[in-house]
Amino acid sequence: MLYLIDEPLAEIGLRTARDDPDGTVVLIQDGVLLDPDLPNETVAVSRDVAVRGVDLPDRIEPITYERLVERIVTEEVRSFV
Amino acid sequence: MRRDVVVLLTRAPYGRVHVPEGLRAASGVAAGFDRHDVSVVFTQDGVYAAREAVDREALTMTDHLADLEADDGELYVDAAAMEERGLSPDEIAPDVTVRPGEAITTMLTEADHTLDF
Repeated sequence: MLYLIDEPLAEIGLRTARDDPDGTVVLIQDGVLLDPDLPNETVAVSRDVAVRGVDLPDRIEPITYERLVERIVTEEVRSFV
Repeated sequence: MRRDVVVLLTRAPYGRVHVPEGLRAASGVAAGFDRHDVSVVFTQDGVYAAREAVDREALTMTDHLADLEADDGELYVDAAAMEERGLSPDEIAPDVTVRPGEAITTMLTEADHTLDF
């Protein structure tokens, strides 16, 4: 499961993702400013990172929009955007 | 086809329309031809809208809540978000069920669809 997380719904979104260690957290829009303390695989949308001038922590991988769309089509998604 | 839909109300009740509009959407989904199972969850700052002291008439919540009840919609409030904001269960309106944070997140992962307001 993909958990799309933007900043306004980060509280409930991250809490939901935390209960699913196999889920992937996708930080999107202002969500890329977050540094969630979660065991989950965490990625951040590279364009949103770039336009905000964010330095991602090492454990958070950038992901392109194109690659994210591919994953959205093939995986189950919970949106908190 | 009947679906399990969770409507999240995440904003504080005053000064914006998110709570009544979320309830409007929830009652619309519940009343549709497919008779979906609708649960409304008050979470994050939305927990303030679940308090009994809230003036539901002023917030134009009353009619939507009546429609939702008529179509078996359920109202829940997120105990973890309440705790974070210092709200106690006895402040919550009687028609809203207080649910533990884990139960709320399980509802969200198991739902067919979620809508957030």
